[in-house]
Amino acid sequence: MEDAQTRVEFDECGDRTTYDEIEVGKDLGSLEWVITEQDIEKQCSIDEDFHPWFAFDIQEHDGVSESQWEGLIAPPQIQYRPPRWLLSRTYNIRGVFYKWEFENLKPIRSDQTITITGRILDKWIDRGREFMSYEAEGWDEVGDMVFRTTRVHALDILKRDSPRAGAGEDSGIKKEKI
Amino acid sequence: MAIITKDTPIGTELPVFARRFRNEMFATGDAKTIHNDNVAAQREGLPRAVAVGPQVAALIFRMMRTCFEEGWIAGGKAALTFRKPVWSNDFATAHGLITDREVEGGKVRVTCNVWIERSDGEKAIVGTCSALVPGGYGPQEGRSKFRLADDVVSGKLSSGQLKELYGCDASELPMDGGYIVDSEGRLQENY
Repeated sequence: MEDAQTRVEFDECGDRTTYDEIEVGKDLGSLEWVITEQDIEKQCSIDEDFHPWFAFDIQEHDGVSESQWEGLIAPPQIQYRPPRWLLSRTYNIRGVFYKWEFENLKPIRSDQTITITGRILDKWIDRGREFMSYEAEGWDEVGDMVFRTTRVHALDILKRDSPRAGAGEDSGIKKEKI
Repeated sequence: MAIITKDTPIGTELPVFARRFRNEMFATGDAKTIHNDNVAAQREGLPRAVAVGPQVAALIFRMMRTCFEEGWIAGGKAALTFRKPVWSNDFATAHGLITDREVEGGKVRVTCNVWIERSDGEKAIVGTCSALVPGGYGPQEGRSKFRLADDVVSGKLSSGQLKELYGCDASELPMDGGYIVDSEGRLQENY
């Protein structure tokens, strides 16, 4: 194993993206995300965030739907991963999460297909560490925005004057599955 | 039913939510990651394995969902900074404090300072979250009229918005609570 004062150079997903390789303004393309009932159940379990809205598709009772959402919905934080997948399709950044902004505009529904789009907003160096930001939006089938988010990642925990050398155990890139 | 309403005072603390994290919670098959393996974490420059940031932040989201229910699901906003790691076997608590409320499209947006505290008392995540609560201020509700008057005086609500959203003029707001209507129809504090 390399000394801990070197930044990881590569992992099982290839070379780590360097600061110079990040292109501000770059379009990250798009990603189709289908939310399943199992995804919702898993997210609730991961976060210990349980509510009948996330567990039952409340059926009509005497002809009147008892759920104001008219079907099963997900906890809004389920939107964390898909934009990260989108970023990881272009850049191999392990990083650490530094800032997270989002707005929940519409509920995220079971069996819904959400199209995620995103782009690189900025990159900068602060107190010797490298940072990058990106934004993403989620759109439903009728063209409404469901959520929008902006994130900031530090490229490495170590400062940029630490040389890159050797393999990392963990790329941070996960299967595109909740 | 949401705990927080349009009448919940600024300065109110939200109920605290807590969770004990364990290394096993961050297992992803046999993969060693910075979230479940100290060596993998040290290779990246961390002293030991850290909890997954969004999973820690989810304590805040659970607090917001519990307090605001549908107003968090559609209308919720968050702006968080991850200042320090929460260790993968740490105990964390989510806290919130109502700091502001303002009219937004016929509803009221309630803003809270929020934070995650580690077991050593350090604030690991800090920021703000906000959500919508139903209604504005019903013009027939005497107590709410005083709240509405507060917003007009502080400039959060214009007389145009007052008319559009609540169907009332400044002159209809209570005059015995320390307010007068000036020559241009604006509500002013009367001392």
